[in-house]
Amino acid sequence: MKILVPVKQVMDVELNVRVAAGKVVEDGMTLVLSKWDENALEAAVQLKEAGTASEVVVVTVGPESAGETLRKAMAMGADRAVHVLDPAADGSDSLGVARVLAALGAKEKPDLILAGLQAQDTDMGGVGPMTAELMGIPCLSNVTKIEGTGPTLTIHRRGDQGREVIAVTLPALITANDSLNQPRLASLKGIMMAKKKPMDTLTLENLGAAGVAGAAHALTQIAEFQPPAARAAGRKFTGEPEVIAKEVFDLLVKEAKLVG
Amino acid sequence: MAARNFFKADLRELEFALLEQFQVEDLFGKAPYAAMTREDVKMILQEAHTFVSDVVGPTLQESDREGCQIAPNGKVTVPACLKPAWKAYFENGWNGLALPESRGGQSAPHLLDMAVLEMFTAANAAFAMYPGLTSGAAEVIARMGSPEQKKLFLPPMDTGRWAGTMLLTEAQAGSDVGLNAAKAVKNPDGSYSLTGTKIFISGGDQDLTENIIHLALARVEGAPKGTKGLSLFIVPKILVNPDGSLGAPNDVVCTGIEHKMGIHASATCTLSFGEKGKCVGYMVGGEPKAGVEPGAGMRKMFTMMNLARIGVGVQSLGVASTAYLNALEYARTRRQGAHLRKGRPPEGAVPIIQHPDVRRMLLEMKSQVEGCRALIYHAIRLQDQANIAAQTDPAKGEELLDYVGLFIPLVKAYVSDTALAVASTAMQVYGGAGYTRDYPAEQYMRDARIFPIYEGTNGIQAMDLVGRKLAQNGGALVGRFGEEAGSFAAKLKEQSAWNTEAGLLTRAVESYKKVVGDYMAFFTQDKMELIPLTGTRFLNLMAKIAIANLLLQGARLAEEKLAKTDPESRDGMFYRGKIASARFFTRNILPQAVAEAEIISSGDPTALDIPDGGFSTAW
Ligand SMILES: Cc1cc2nc3c(=O)[nH]c(=O)nc-3n(C[C@H](O)[C@H](O)[C@H](O)COP(=O)(O)OP(=O)(O)OC[C@H]3O[C@@H](n4cnc5c(N)ncnc54)[C@H](O)[C@@H]3O)c2cc1C
Ligand SMILES: Cc1cc2nc3c(=O)[nH]c(=O)nc-3n(C[C@H](O)[C@H](O)[C@H](O)COP(=O)(O)OP(=O)(O)OC[C@H]3O[C@@H](n4cnc5c(N)ncnc54)[C@H](O)[C@@H]3O)c2cc1C
Repeated sequence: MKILVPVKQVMDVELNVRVAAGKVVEDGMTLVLSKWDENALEAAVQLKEAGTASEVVVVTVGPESAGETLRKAMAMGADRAVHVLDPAADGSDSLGVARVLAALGAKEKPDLILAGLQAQDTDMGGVGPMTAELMGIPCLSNVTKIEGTGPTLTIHRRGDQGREVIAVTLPALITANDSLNQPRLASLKGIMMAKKKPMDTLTLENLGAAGVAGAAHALTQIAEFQPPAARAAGRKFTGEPEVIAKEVFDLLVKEAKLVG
Repeated sequence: MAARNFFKADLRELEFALLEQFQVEDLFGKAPYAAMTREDVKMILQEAHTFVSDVVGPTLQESDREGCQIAPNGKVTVPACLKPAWKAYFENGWNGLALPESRGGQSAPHLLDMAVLEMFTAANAAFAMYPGLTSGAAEVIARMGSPEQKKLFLPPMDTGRWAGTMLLTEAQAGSDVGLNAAKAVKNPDGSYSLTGTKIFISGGDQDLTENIIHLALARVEGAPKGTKGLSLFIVPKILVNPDGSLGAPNDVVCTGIEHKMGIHASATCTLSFGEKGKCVGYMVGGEPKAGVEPGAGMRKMFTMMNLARIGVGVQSLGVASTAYLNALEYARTRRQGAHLRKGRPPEGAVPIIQHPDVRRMLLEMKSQVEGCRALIYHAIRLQDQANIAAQTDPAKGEELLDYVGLFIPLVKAYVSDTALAVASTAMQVYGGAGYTRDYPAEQYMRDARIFPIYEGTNGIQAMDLVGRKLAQNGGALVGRFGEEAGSFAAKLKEQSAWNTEAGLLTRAVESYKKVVGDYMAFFTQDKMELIPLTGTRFLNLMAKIAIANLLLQGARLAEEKLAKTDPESRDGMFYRGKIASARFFTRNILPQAVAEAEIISSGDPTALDIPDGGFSTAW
């Protein structure tokens, strides 16, 4: 079984983000591997360790710096990496990225694609399902458990009504919920060995995907970023309970317009 | 409840120190160091940070509360939460960063290794001592051991199966190592039988590893008194068969553990060996060759001391740094009082970070922490350069090592004293909350209190500085130090924005040079006691000059970068903070050094002249 894991490099969301002129200022921001992708990758590496998978390939569509993310993925156990690095892909929306991944899928022919449920920066959750749709393979999102050795896998996913247990025959695409596993820490040896693992750098043209991605082909555009509004100061009420209750109710109606 | 994680490190600052100011990249690819890249550094820092946060950080309070226990049979147990941390530490290879490739390591320069070590010790200083001592003991065997000893002991020590310790201290031989009384008698098979009692041995017994390799100082029968008659022995807790398998227990017993103020998770043991006359030890390096004096033990130890002492500096730095960063977080959220000009906000009170006195405390901590880091990196980088030079030009290597030696007492003593002060200031920022066990400030203070004591007390460091290093190479080392600081100050004067700082630094360097001259005079005027009397002051004077110098160099660099950066961005804020640290240190802390210099020069003999009985009512 060959597994393809698409990963995204995102800004560390734990840090303060500065927005200026409608854009996020990148100076000094730390870039990390999106956390749900870590779950997807961990699942793939576990399948490999269990002897179920024969190869784990990570791929990213992103700028030069995204190479670090691929290396981190290889430090965690991926066998090789594909970096789709092409200025023409800049400004892609989820659909653009999905088209590129589908083109790579056609080339790599993985049995299983393991993606993150959503990206940690945009929380869109679109790339996985769109890729599956474009490739014409089943998509199982929000997966919490994977059982079996293929060609049919038993998948547990979190659905509307609770846990769903589904049998799926490969090829298929799975998106990982963060309770799927506990991603491993990269070891120092892993980090240094990752440098020696193969990494292919491809352009859209190499993939036969020229003219499907990038800002010009995006159906959605980010008009601007805005910093979240600062939380207004809290207020402490003191006095007789009945008086306070009345005061709070009036404020909820008149100022917060929550009631009424 | 999941254990709380108080570990904090400023990765941006570590990257700045390694990549921007101290340019670790210059050391890469030059033997004995491996070819590494900037990306490697960033990734190693980031992944080490993740590991430390996940694995070590949560053990801090838990391991402190649980402490170490000793059973009636002398077996010591360490806090349970340290066992998985120890295992993961070795499995993930973090002990191997600076180890040579031949021992399964990455051959990184020590400069990079120290940055990683700082994070481990910040997360749990007591835990970090176990692997630290193990790698220290392994390093002694690697440098001085015989080929058989290396083959037998290094692989299990490098993989965390066995641990290592250092056995120097005895009840009557603390600072005065030469009074060591442990005895070694040669056996017919070439091994030695040891008898004696060592105290205060960190990790002397524990249940993290199946075996412990003790390195013990002892005196061979008939060897001269003093340090030069001491030899160094490998004393395994459990004897090791020639094939590396474990044999019978050696005659080494832990007879007690200390109940200490801090580092509770580190077992501090009294070890008695040879009670049954059956303690077997092996001289490190095997029998000395004919013509070589038998007791070369101390010299062997000394070659290790630079790294061990820098190690204590790094321990101190780690605790100081995390103490500062925790206090900073608290200061941003704790609300008390009104703003001096704007009065009270709707919340009723302002975050205390807005109060001038709290800002003073925060910047004092920030500039001291960054200053200590710069001092350590400067020293360790010189040591790395010495190691590189030694490969092709041994004389050049020696010269550099001599200069490193000048910085060692500063790194050990100044940084450890400062760490304690920083931890105390951090507690002050918390107010009453800091004094309780709900926050880590109290533990940082307790843990940091040992750093000025062990690995040569800070008093002994000052004696090393003024007693040995001052006059070493005909005073060339202290001369070079003054020249370097002076010429930087002169260059800084050309920058109008830094005029004040250049003036303050120049003044400090002048008073330093005067003190060096005064010391010569004390000597010729038969007032030599004034030199050790003021040694600690002189050490602080040098350290503050070195730090101001290095912080100002960093600030100039930050200034250049800031010109090309959005000042409100994360990088912008960082560089502005670097500039503030350097200004604050030079204007608020360096002048104290000038005052110390004036005290030294005054030659005040009061503390010498006061009669012993005058110290107390007990006479
Ligand atoms: C928690 C802990 C862990 C330790 N771990 C180890 C270990 O793993 N291995 C090991 O071998 N030892 C270890 N030690 C011992 C430690 O190195 C000694 O405590 C230290 O060297 C000081 O010796 P001492 O305690 O006998 O103090 P003393 O030597 O009695 O010193 C008392 C005071 O006198 C001063 N003084 C002494 N001599 C002079 C002098 N000539 N000039 C000026 N001032 C002087 C000292 O600076 C100090 O202020 C540990 C100690 C502790 C507390
Ligand atoms: C062991 C112990 C015993 C105690 N016993 C008693 C007792 O018997 N009775 C009692 O009433 N209380 C008692 N206290 C409370 C003690 O008096 C308070 O802890 C102390 O007044 C500080 O208040 P705080 O802890 O809220 O710190 P904070 O007021 O939050 O102070 C935090 C930091 O901010 C600084 N700060 C705060 N406001 C300003 C400002 N306006 N300008 C500049 N800096 C500012 C402080 O100096 C401090 O560094 C006790 C506390 C302890 C720990």
